[in-house]
Amino acid sequence: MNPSLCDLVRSALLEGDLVDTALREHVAGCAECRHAARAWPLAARALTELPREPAPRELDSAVVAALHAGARTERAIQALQRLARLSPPPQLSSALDANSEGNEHDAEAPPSAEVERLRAAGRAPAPRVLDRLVHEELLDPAKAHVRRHVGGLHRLTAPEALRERVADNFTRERRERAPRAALRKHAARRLRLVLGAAVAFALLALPFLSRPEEPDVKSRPFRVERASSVGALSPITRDLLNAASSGMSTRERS
Amino acid sequence: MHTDPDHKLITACQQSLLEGLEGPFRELYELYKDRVYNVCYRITGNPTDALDASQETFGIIFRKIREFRFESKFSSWVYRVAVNASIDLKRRARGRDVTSLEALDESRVESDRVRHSMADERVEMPIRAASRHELEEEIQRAISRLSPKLRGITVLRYIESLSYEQIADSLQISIGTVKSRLARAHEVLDRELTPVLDRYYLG
Ligand SMILES: [Zn+2]
Repeated sequence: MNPSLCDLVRSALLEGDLVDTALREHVAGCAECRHAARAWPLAARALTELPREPAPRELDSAVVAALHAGARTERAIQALQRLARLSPPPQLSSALDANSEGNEHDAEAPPSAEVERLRAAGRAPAPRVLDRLVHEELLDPAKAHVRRHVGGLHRLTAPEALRERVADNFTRERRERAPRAALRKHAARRLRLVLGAAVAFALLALPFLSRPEEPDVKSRPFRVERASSVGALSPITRDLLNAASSGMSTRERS
Repeated sequence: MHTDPDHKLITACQQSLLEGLEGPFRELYELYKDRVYNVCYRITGNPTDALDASQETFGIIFRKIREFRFESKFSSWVYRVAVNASIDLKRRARGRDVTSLEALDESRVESDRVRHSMADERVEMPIRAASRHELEEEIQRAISRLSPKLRGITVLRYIESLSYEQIADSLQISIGTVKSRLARAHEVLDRELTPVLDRYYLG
């Protein structure tokens, strides 16, 4: 096998014209080239004779769907670009002038960092969501199309009947709740009275309980008073009771 | 002067609003749909994938047609988009474990090697001549076993009858690369197809 001659034979076979005498002589003596000279033209013929398929009718509708999806994306992108295009800050033009004056002899010189900073300030970045939307669109236009349609579905307003039904429920519940609340309030008031009386009693009884073995009990004057209500107590007792019950007893009275 | 035969039509498309398959776009679509579909069909190997790849091809063409600057022939660009859309579709379908075209090429070359060592044992075929339909199926199978790069070139050369220059323009590679890849494709096809072609053409 002669690599350069074998390559030339293959090149000639691809062109379909193995006419060179030297190459034909090589083919006669090279088993690999002999095989290629027989097989390659057959393969080429077989491939060329494959029937051409007409594009199916479904392709029309598939392409129409793809184009609609594409057109919507393009319109959306254009709209976003219009929105995002802000006017450059006023300092930019003066900075640009200063920059070009400094670079009069070098038109290719890069703009100064200040100019770049001002330019960047005047350039609104594309929203991040655009990357994803365009990516989805290119990846699967049909799916993106469906998603856009679902996203754009008309939002219904709640019917008047719903408002009336909710209002009815609310009124009924309030009516049911009112008696129960009154009962709870009454019970709380009674509990506070009982507690107040117990505290007053404990305060008055304290001297006896703390010194049970005191010999001259009679030398310390005290009285036991029974009161039917807080108002009937003496002012000092009432104040004591008031302080001990954090004002509950006074509030009770009023 | 512009030598592209589609120049007038492309310019009309670029100047009109992209509103769907109507006007000059419809004309363009009718002009190219069979070519696109056949390239997609032979590269993907089945009608369903061919339809998807064709749809994607026209989607891309209509979205990007305004950016086309006649730096290559318009038909070359259409073929390039169709070949890439078909190969991408097959790659996506093949799964996510193959991450790049190169990797796909490598694995394909390897599996080709294994298959060729086995193909020699399959030479024993029934004596009767293969039917035309069987032959077509065998050829399509052989195309599908080529690596994506070799498949694209083979389809453009033999199904679409493009010249080396047109293939080079379409795939943005040199004419030398076109020739060497086509020679490699023949080496692979040869091993796959020689038995069946012998039966069909030589009895
Ligand atoms: Zn040789």
